[in-house]
Amino acid sequence: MSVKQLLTMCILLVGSLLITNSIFGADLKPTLSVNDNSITVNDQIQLTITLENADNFPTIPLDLDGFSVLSGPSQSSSFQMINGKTSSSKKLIYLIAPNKSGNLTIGPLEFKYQGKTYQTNKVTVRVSQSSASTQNQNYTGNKTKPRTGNDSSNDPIFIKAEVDRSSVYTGEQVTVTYRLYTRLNARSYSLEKQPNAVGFWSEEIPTPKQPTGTERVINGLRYNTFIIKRTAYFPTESGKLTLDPLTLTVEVQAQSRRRSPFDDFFSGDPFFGQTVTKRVVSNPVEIEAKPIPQKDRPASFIGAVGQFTLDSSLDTTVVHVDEAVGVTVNLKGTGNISTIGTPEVKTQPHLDMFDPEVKKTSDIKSGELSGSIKYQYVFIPREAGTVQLPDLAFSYFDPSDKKFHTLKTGSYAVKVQPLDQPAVASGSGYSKEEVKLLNSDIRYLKPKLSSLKSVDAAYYKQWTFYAVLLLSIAVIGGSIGYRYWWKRWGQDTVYLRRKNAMKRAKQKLSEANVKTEDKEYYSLLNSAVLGFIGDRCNIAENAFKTDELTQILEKQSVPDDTIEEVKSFLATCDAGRFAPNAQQDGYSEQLRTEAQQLVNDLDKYL
Amino acid sequence: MRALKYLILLVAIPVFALAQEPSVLFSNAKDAYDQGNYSAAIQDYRQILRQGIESASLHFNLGNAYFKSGELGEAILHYEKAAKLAPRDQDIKYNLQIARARIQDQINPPPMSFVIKIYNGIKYWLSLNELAWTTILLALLTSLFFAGWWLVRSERLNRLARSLFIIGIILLIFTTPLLISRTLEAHHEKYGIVLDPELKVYSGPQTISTEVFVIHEGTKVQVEREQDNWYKIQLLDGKEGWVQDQSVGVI
Repeated sequence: MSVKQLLTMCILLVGSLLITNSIFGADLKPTLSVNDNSITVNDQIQLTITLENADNFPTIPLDLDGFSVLSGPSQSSSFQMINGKTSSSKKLIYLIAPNKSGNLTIGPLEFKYQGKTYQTNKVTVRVSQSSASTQNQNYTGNKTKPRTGNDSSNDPIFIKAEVDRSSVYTGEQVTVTYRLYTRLNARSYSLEKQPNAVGFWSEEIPTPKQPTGTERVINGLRYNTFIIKRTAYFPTESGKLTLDPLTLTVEVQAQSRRRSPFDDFFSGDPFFGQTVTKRVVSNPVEIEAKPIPQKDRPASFIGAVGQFTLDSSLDTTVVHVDEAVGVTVNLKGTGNISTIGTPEVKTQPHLDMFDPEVKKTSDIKSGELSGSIKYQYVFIPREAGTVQLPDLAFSYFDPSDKKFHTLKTGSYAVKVQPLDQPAVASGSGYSKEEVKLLNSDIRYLKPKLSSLKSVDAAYYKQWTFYAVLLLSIAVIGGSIGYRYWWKRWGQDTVYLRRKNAMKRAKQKLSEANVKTEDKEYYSLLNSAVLGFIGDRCNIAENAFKTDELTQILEKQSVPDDTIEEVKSFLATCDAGRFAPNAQQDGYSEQLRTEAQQLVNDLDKYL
Repeated sequence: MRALKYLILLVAIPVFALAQEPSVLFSNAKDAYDQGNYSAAIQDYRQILRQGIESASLHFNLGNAYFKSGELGEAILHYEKAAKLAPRDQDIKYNLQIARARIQDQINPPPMSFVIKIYNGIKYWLSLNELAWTTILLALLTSLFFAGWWLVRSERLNRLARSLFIIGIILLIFTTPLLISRTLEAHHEKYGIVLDPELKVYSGPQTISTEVFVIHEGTKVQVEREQDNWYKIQLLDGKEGWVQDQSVGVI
């Protein structure tokens, strides 16, 4: 640091010599000003030192009583030339925050500039205590109040366990908030060690996954604070209990604060722009757990501390012997819901009682654990008559008035009707069935290994499941699709004629192959070609003559030579039909191939 | 004691058993069981399991071997696993009942109402995989009936296909939500069996936390949450606490 300062001074000195000395000796007129004279302890103010006619920035030792510097100085200078006279002013601006309340005086500040000593004026700032500030409300009764200035508060990063109260009754809620204070650019954090809570039942109070920072000022330093963890603790034993510290690893971006242009060079921080892992440990928390008073403690007290209400209901008023009667008891309230046991119910002769089914629901609303417990008691009367079900008492200790309160369910009467069949006598502890089970042996091994499956052969991991699923969807989609296709095209004769034209032509040609009689042979070939044209153009096969045919084919832009071929082919066929035996066998075979060729050619154009 | 046994197992496996045929191991185990050498039977059965395969009868027989060697927790765990794979098997049900009668903690869930009993009876009548394949094949059949209804021209067949399609749809309306709920349950509702003869339940996931209560071998618990090497468990009667995970076998 000293090397840095020395270098800074040297460079400033050289700089000052290089800059013109034209206005050397002009009066410096240093003035000190603040932007606000009346503030609270949590506020920050701007302190400005203005220097007239200074051509460089002097180093002013900022010795402030009751304030600390948050940032600065930032420098600004203005230069004016009016009627050949130059005037310049330089400003040094600091951001400062008070450390205490009262009337605080800043200055006069003394500094040396070019061999002469200067003194600024002084400014008084009235700092009031911020009683209404929301920041301090959280700390009422808190031993580890951040403003007490304990050892950690000058660290750039630390974590504090803040307790809402330090002395409670056993079973009463203590809320501990772990808050990270940082002046660094914290990137991420991870809990390294959860606090061990011996002698406590703990419930997490949900905090946002991405904590949002709030700003706080401690000893004049601005901190970003994040709530890392909030836990509701319920002491389960009395005495002085300690919550171990919580350890956090924080990824911090190494950051340089720009005090002067030289700081960047001399900060000596090799991690500039990189992240550094820091380990922070919170303070341990001591909590005094007072025992629940023995005096006036009711017998039905089972450790409930808080405020509760009780209601109950009976499911039926008339039963047969050996039939179950249910009593539902609903306990609601705020307090140590999780650690409350089951209220005892006095046993009665001729009335069997089962351990109740217990359903607990708990929730943390506005930081306090509250919820309900539903006890479902089942009684089975073993004798007929009117049975008075045992009433249930529940006592709790209210820490706010330090008294026990007892709640009672109504006393229910149930009419028990006799059973037609004699009831099964049940022995103590085990039922008849259970005794039978205890005395019998297990059944022997299975002989076959049965179908072996992979341990994680869950159906949703198998492709066949999805294949069948897709197949069924495809079947449904396909049948809907086919039905629509049929509706649109299946009844369209024009379409069907077009579609089946080639098929029919080929069929006729293959028929012609096996026909021996010449007349029919020629007529089939003729109809294969003409029929193909008719099907494609939707014209009755025998409805057109040769000149019409030419027109139709020309309309479909069939090339002239193909039309000529068709014409000559048809003429040959006609000749064959009306003058049989005029052709040789080889020639007729060639004619069939020609017909085939023609159909294929026409297929391209029609 | 158990740790020692596993150690022996661990050392012994590579020496004499390099991935033997499951059927061979299965019959070997039966012989060992018949001779009263239950620990050898357990070893053989476990070796089959270690190959990443399972079956209802394998878990049943392993449960029997554990029961005979006095390890009630493991016995119940494997009977439960067997029952999960073959929910209608009477032998499994019977042996599970016998094993349960020997549990020290008799935490009886209160008697269920008639309607819930029937509902559960239907819901768990099929194993999850059986239910899944039934549902998907039903879906395929229904889609084929649908195709028949839409495409077949014959009046009689068309009508038949339509009725079958409606029956299929009604069945699917029942099985599909059942399948979804069972699948979600299988994912979110984990149950476990206490394996330690006596298991301390703590208020938090540390051994230095306060001991809340003690449960015994064979007791069925619901595993609500896992954290580090700890399970947050809930008993059938609603009591909650934390236990170390190696003391509870998840079904």
